[in-house]
Amino acid sequence: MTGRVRTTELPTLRCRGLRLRFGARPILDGLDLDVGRGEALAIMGPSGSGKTSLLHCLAGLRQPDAGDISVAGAELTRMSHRQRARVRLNSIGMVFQFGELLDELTVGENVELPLRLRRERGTAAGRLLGSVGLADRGGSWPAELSGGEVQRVAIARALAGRPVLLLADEPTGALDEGLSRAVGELLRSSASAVGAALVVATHDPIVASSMDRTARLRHGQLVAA
Amino acid sequence: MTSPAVRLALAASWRGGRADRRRAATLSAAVAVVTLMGCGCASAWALAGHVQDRAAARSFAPAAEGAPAAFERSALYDETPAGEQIYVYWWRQAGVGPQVPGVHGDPAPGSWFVSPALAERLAVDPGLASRYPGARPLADEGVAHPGELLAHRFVGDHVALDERLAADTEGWIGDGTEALELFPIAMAALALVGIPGLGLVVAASSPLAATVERRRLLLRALGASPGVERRVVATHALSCALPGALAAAVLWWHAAPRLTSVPFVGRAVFAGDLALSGPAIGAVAAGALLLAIAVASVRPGPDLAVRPAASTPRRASAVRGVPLLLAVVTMAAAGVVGGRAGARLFVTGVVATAAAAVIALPYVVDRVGAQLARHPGAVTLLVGRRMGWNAARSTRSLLAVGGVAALSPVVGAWVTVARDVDQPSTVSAPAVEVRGVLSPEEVADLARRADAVTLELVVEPPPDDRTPPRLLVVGDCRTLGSHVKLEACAAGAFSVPAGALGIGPGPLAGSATRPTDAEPHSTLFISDDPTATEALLRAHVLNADRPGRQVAVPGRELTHESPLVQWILGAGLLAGVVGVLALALHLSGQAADLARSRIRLVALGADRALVRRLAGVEAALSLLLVGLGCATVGTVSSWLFVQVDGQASLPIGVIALVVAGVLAGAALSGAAAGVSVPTALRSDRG
Ligand SMILES: Nc1ncnc2c1ncn2[C@@H]1O[C@H](COP(=O)(O)OP(=O)(O)O)[C@@H](O)[C@H]1O
Ligand SMILES: [Mg+2]
Repeated sequence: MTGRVRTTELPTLRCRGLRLRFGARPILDGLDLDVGRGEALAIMGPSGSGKTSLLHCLAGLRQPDAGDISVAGAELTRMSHRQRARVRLNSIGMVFQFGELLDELTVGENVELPLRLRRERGTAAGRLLGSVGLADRGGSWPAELSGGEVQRVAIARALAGRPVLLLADEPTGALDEGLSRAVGELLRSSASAVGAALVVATHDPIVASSMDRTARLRHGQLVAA
Repeated sequence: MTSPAVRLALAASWRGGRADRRRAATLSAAVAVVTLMGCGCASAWALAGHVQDRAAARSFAPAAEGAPAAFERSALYDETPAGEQIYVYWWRQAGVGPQVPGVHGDPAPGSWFVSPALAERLAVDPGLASRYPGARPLADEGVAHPGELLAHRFVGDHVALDERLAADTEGWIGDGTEALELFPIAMAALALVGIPGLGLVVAASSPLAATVERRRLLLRALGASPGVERRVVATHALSCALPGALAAAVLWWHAAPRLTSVPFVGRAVFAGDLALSGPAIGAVAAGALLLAIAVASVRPGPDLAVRPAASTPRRASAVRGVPLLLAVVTMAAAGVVGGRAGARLFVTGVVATAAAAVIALPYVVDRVGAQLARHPGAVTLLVGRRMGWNAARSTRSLLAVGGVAALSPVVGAWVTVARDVDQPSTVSAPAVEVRGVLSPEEVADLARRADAVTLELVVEPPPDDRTPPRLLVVGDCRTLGSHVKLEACAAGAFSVPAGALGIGPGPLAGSATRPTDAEPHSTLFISDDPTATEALLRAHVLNADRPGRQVAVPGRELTHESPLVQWILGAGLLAGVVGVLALALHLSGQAADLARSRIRLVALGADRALVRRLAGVEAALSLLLVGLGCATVGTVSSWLFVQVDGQASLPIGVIALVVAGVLAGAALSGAAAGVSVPTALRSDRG
């Protein structure tokens, strides 16, 4: 198992015995995982191995059939839908393969959205966009950005809520090699800047190399790479 | 390229996934409804033709001067106690000529034939029945429609009748009123059936539009020519809509000949009157299919549900208000023009206004959206931005609702006028003729009443042996003089010598008019005071329930029984139903539109309640804006209508109903949209 706790305090993310099956087919089969504060983990595996399913469980978007998930002490698997949404809003940031910005909002409004959802006055867009090198694009529409720019905005949005856990699902899947490295490093540096635990699902070795450690998802379990 | 492209289109319609099939089925159902609406209109047209043909079959042409007459006839009038008009014709037939249509059996003098609807009334009303002694039923072909109240009486030689008729029928030339009504009726059908029908197809094809748009982008990427793109879109729409059009056509083909009442209108018809020919039904179905193709081929800009390259909001500009302005000016101008041309201009303006309102509203929706987006809340931001994304596109499927809201107040105002036309007006002619036997007691009674209303009674001597004496009730000497063609006044008083009239002014002796004949005598009431005449008429004639007594109003046109209101209300009801259907489609389309954003919002930490609120506010707000906006435009139109037509009145009830309907609809759709949003996460694989 890869769950090596580096500090004596509780890890930011802690999973025990996660099980998930679609029909008769097990996707997660007794999976254990620990990621500490400021730590960056890459999860690799071929397409269809269950990376997205695992991340959805970690984000509280999907309930596993069995097992426990704790994010900063919050027991996701014992919570209602609404409580999990609250944890996601306050403690978790997510980045997807295609950025998944809301097309109907400007870039700046996309970045501020997590704060607005928390009913906080959102004024951080400028600073956050600056931190990903897009300070002057706040008024643009998502469709006017390139793929790499979209991913940088998505990272800025994921960080807007000052999460303790940052989850990224194939964040460079749609990008070329040079951009992949840049985005991977941006993720790593942004997460450590706010002290967030980072879990990146990827099949891209370049991205994985930017992380502290790498695990492989195989037969529903994580094995150290 | 065509054949693979067509195959691609077909694969996307019925052979695609479950969602594709559901969208195809929705369009199919909408096209079915529109086909049925179109068939209904065509059938109503056919029905009008049948009714007119049967009415024409008994309107014989006048006989030429000196030529022998096939019939002699008088057109009279009667009323049921409920005030419904009864057409009464007295006939005399010359030898073995043509028959009065529907009269089977021996039309011996004194015999009565009544329409089935009148026979029903007679069966439950002995008083009324006594006025039609021994009535036999008229066959269907002699009756214009099952609701017609009609009676024929055949009289002997000694009764004077007004018209001499030849054997050939006149054909339907109408009496002017039918032709006059055609234009507004055609416009009303266009507005009450056309606009909601179009709106329904638009609403049904908008969920499909996303699929179509994706396919178009894919084809373009593959290098297809615009012609191929268009063919694929047309084939797609056609293949989705075809089953519905066919099913509706077959349904109408089978059902229409069997219908004995008009759906929604509720008017009784003879079975077969609503039947349409195969080609006619085919033409209507083809029209509905063309409509579906045309709607699918219109590209109203970027949709949030699709992601074409670089789609940014499509702002609605203020220019959209110009057609509305022009349409309102047209209505106002109609008031200045006046007359028949003005009326046509106004009706055109009304329909144009309803359409222009729907064109103008996206601008309002866009502006309101921009205002909302300024607020800090996440829901207001999202709703505002979504409303402003492509307001023209998102309000398109509210076309039917908007059209109904804009038209109802004007139609309501029109009904207030049409009602007046419809009601058989009270008998208020200066002269009313009563045909029937007056007993001496009745004459004496009349004299008493005439005194009460300060009238004078005069018995006019018969000009020849065949004409019975007439009892005149006159209001003043001048009226009498003009009628009997004598100088009847001297210093403002009656001065007609008694001998000239058979009996002089003043109370009558019973013997003067004692009838000896089984056939009726004529009595003429003349009065300058219409209410007095009416009082006499009602007191002594209609309520007397004497055998064979009817009333003729010389020189007065019978008010034609007009089922206009019934038709308008039926069409309005249909429009309302279609509007609700279109609204439901609009809401489900909107919910589907929200799907992509919903998944992203949930991933960001929004909970179900927020997504529901978002869906609910978006649904309710767009309906409120479109519904109330169109209702306002409709109210202005109906106010202008009242200014143009002095007899119309502002239909406060209808306006209140529309506003209440919009408010209730907004509340319901807000709640429904909130509930129907599925918030469970679906696998979000790009
Ligand atoms: N909602 C679902 N229902 C059924 N099967 C699913 C669902 N989501 C994912 N799967 C299946 O689970 C397996 C893992 O999917 P996923 O987690 O997306 O893998 P990865 O992200 O590693 O490519 C795949 O075989 C996929 O088809
Ligand atoms: Mg995946």
